[in-house]
Amino acid sequence: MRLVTRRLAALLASLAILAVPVMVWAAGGEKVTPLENVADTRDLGPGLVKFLADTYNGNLWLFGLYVVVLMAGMGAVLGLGVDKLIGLTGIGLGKMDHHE
Amino acid sequence: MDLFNVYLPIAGLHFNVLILLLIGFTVGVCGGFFGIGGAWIVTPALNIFGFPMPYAIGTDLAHIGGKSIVSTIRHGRFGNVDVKLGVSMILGTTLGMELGARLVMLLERMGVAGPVIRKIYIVFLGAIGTLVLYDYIKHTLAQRRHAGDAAAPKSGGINIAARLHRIRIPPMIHFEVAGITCSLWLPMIVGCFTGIVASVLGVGGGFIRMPALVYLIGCPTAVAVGTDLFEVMVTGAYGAFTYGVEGRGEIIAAMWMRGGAAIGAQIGTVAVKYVRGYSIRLLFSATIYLACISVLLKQLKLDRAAAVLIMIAAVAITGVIVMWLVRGMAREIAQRREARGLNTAASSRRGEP
Repeated sequence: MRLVTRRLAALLASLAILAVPVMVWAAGGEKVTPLENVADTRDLGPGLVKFLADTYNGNLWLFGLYVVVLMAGMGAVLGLGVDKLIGLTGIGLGKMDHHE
Repeated sequence: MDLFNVYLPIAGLHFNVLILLLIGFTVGVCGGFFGIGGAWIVTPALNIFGFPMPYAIGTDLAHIGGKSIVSTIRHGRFGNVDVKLGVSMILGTTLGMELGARLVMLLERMGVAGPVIRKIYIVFLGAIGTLVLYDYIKHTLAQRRHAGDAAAPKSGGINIAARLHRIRIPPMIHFEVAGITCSLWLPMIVGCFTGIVASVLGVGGGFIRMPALVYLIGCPTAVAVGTDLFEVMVTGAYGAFTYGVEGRGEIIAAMWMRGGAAIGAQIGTVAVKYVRGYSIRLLFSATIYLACISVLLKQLKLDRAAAVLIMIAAVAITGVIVMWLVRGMAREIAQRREARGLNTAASSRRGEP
């Protein structure tokens, strides 16, 4: 039974990964068409902003990857950081009871 | 205010970071509390402050994925995320999205897509808001009627899910976190239905999935919020990539919004701990009504009024959630202090150090 459940879970996970592209509409609400644009980097000094703008101008695929990695990374780091801060207030942050 | 202006090289404009932080914070609080992405708040809010529309959606998506990670992690620790249920729903939603897209194409060929979809949207928002409000009133009246009665029904509200659970088509599956056992087909079909609706309406669908998880699947409200956020996290990350590849994401703006959203998402998520499921539902109902009025204003070509309404509504709802959180935290801290004081008194009576 456990093997069947595991196989089913693996099948569901694989299908979910394959299914994700169709869900862009769910996330965005409209079809995406390429945008002709160049980021103006003339006044930018060296740093993260210039690096990201240069990547945007040079390779949009890499830029798309940076967007996801940066946002996920920031999400995880800031999320865990703020979680720790909230924990300092002394409230319980374990499993909660579900009161309807 | 120039001090707070940053240059956004991709959108090609200077923008006030305080506005970005505030938008991020607001959508973070609402998203973490209701289990929604919040695109309907962010996109008009960015646009009304002069952000070009082509970048508003991409920028919104870029920060939604990250924001949902924060909320999903916290909801996960609270025991509010049913991953198995979330994955089953994603499968159904995907199929529904595809069917919905085809339905939209059919309506377009018939030349009625725009007006029909907007009207359906208004009716649908009104219907969801009314259903949730009706359920809240029914539950409250039942609670009053059975006050002090030990045999009182647990919910007293709408109970469609119990009937749907009786349909026992294999494979039957138990969702531990949600605490329900039903046919695997149920979440997949419900996901498919919400997918069709979201696709036809051209929206993210969090505001449809959350009540569907409660009323059709039978999840406790907090688990519906957490599980929906899990789905938003997956779709948001992919959406961020797609819009990024198409050059539509202003990542610097998204990073600033992300900063505000990190705090907001924690606040919204932790606030869930201090309120009953039905309080979440009541506030959700009010939010949906406000969104409905905003779409109605758009239909009447009053775009600016619609955006202003959404922003005021989002700030007001955020205020209510923050107030609930502060009140709940103060109560818990006071209870803990009291308990500690009693323990110390008991120890000193026993002569313990």
